[in-house]
Amino acid sequence: MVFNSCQFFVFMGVFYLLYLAVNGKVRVQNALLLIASYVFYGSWDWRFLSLLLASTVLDYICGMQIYMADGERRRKVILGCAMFGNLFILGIFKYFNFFSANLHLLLSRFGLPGDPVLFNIILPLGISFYTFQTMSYSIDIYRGEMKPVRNFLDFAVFVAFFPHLVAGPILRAKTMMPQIMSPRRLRFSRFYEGCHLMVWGFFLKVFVADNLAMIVDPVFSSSGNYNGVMVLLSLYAFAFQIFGDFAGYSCIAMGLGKWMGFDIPVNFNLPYFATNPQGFWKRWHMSLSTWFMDYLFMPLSFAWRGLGGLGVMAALMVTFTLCGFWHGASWTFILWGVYHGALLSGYRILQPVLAGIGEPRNRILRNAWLILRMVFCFHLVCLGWLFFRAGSIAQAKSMIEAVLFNFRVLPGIGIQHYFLSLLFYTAFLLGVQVLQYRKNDLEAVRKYSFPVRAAFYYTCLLFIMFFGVMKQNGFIYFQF
Amino acid sequence: MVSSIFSSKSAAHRERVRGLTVGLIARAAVFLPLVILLVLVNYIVDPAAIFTSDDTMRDIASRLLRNENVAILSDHNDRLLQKFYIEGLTERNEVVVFGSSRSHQIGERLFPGRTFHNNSVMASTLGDYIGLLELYREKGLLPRTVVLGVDPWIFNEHNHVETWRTLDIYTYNFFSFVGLYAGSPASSLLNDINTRVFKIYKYSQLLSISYFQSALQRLRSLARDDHKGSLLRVRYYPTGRTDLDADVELSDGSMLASRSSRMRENDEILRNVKAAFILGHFARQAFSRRDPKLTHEFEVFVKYLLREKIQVVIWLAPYHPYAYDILSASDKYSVINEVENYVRDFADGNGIPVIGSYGPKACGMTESDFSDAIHLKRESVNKMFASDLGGAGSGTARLG
Repeated sequence: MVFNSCQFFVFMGVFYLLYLAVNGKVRVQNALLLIASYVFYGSWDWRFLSLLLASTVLDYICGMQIYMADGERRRKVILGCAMFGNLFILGIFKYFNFFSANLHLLLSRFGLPGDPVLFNIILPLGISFYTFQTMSYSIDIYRGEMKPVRNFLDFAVFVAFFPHLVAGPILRAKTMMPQIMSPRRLRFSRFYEGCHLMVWGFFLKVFVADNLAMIVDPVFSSSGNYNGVMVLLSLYAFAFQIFGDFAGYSCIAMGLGKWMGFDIPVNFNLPYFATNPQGFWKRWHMSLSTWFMDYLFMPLSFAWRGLGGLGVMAALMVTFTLCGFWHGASWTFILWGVYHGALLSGYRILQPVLAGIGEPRNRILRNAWLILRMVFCFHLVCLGWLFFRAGSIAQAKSMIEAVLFNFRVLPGIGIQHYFLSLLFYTAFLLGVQVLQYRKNDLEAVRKYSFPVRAAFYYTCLLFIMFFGVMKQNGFIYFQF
Repeated sequence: MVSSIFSSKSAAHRERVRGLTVGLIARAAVFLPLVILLVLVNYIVDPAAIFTSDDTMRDIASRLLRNENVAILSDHNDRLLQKFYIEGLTERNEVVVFGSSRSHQIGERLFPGRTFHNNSVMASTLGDYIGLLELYREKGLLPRTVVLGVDPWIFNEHNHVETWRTLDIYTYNFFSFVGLYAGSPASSLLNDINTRVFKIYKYSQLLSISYFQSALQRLRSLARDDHKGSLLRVRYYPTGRTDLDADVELSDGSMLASRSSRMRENDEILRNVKAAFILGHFARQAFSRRDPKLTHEFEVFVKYLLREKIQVVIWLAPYHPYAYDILSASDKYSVINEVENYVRDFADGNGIPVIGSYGPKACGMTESDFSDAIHLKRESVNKMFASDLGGAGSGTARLG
């Protein structure tokens, strides 16, 4: 049941009417929310519900036990159990086959043949999201940053909250639990906010991302003999496809949250307007980057503080390698993570030098310098996307070679068509984002008068009606 | 409802809520033109002809019965067309074809001297074959030979064609007749349910964006000159021409693809085949195993035909080489190999000849024989049947 499906519209319609009917009764609303979330998740495959429930029960109990435990050692042991339990689930369902296959490959290199042990299992939807969410809950209690949740129903709602369950954002208990436990006031203003976010989210997904997929996929599914220009165009397209796909999902999730009286934190803040890698990670998938920052990078850099700058860079490399691995059990994702770790480390080294380059005083030159940095950073990010999207490292390598050594505009391969399509599917998005950037406000559009907003909604809806891809394509981040 | 939901205790607040509710309705009304546009285009253009009356299909059927060819400009309820066709028959067809669009290219030329009709329907299910046979049986005009286009998906429990449930009642009638599923709900009840489901489906299409996009496509194709400048309401017309840019249903029931699809270059075809995978056309319905219930129904059906001394010929239409390589190599689709093995074993056990194979190499087909990922060109179908009929078989069984 994806957001852009008829089933979801019917499901949401029925759920929301019931939800409104019990407005003010927070317990009943939470029970309804939990049932709806389990129905939503179970609609993909009811067997996965047991994992969701296991993760919920594990952290609910561990959270309570950590809080009540006497000594530091005991608290650590319980936290260790919680971490082990969550990582075990993740390890078995997401990473086991990867490790097993690679171990087999390694052993066969040393002349130890044999069949790898592989599980015939499907990756449960959203497993990386909810395990990380529950892990952060236990860690926060261990750190004394929050108290455990007494009511199991409330905690189960936090874990299974369906708007964000399968593709994030990764919510923190500190932010969500107060909202879940207190009565929610449904206001018209929030309803409108929700509608605004959902229109924009569907536009990003159905018009931008799914159309750009038709530019990206043929290039990445072809087997060699790449043309550099096509590779570059498809990379640009993928950069906007993955943004449209994931930011679209996040917007819809936020919009649904608003309808129900929740504030889900912003997950994307104009990431392609970043002027350096550090800025990019402050704007891209913010719920994940802050998770890694808080629970991995900070402890590591603290532990390695004796090594000075080297320790920080080592922490960055470890953090981003694992961040890549979080995205999938594949060497391409690991390489993507390593690449970003290296970019951030490199930026850290160069930062003093870059800071020394003063900004031009002339306004035009200053803007040109700003745009130049943005474009450069965007290309660095695009290079990362190549590893992310490629089916194998060999494919990524041959595509890079094509950009470097086979960068020719050849007649008959439809470059003009691809270029115009890319422009068509991204122009409105970029226009809106430039406005948001200039006003330094993601809600810039919503602050215009109703006639202007109506024109904006009309444009989005007409694009969806005339050009949207209505094939209910799954969201890219479902696979993570 | 809304105001009661957002209610509060004070009168002033109630007044405010009322004002906000009016505001909500006014804002929603601003978007009414979009909804009206959607509904009007979907209803008037109606690309799948779901809002047209049954008379359209009745008229096409009567034209086919009068040996006319008919150019059809839109999707249509071809199950209903076949029903009217069979109901209008006065003489027995010696050879009939039951299958999907993959069997639609089989024409009467392949069976010289014998009366023939191709009853294939789009995206057929096993239920369609059974329903069609039941129509012939109830009419008392059972054929002598049935060419059965067996597509792998007819064994897929998730394969439903929600759009057209026209033949369901005949399928259930057949099951009652052969004593299958005794004690199951009456066919009339099932038919009633199906009719209601179809009605819901039908009217939901008024608000469907994908239906709207199909309507736009149809408007674009109608703007071309081949259709005598006809717009909107003309969905079919009798024709003697075979070079139209529209699918032509020939009087023998076989389908002549539109000129543009016949003229496609191999490169373009291959691109489309790849795109079909990319867009997930092959993964719309989960198909991980051959359903035992459908397998049983298939066996009951075929054994009934054999009991009635009807010659059965199984036709396994091949897939485009690119598509087949992916299908057979992928865990996700490789069930098609299992289906083929099962069908061959079953045919061997019952003395049924098999023509073709899902694997193109096994029957000597190359990329140039295909018009897309799953459809052979008409001349290639002729070539395959001729080779089997003529005894120069490609490793497949021969017609008796």
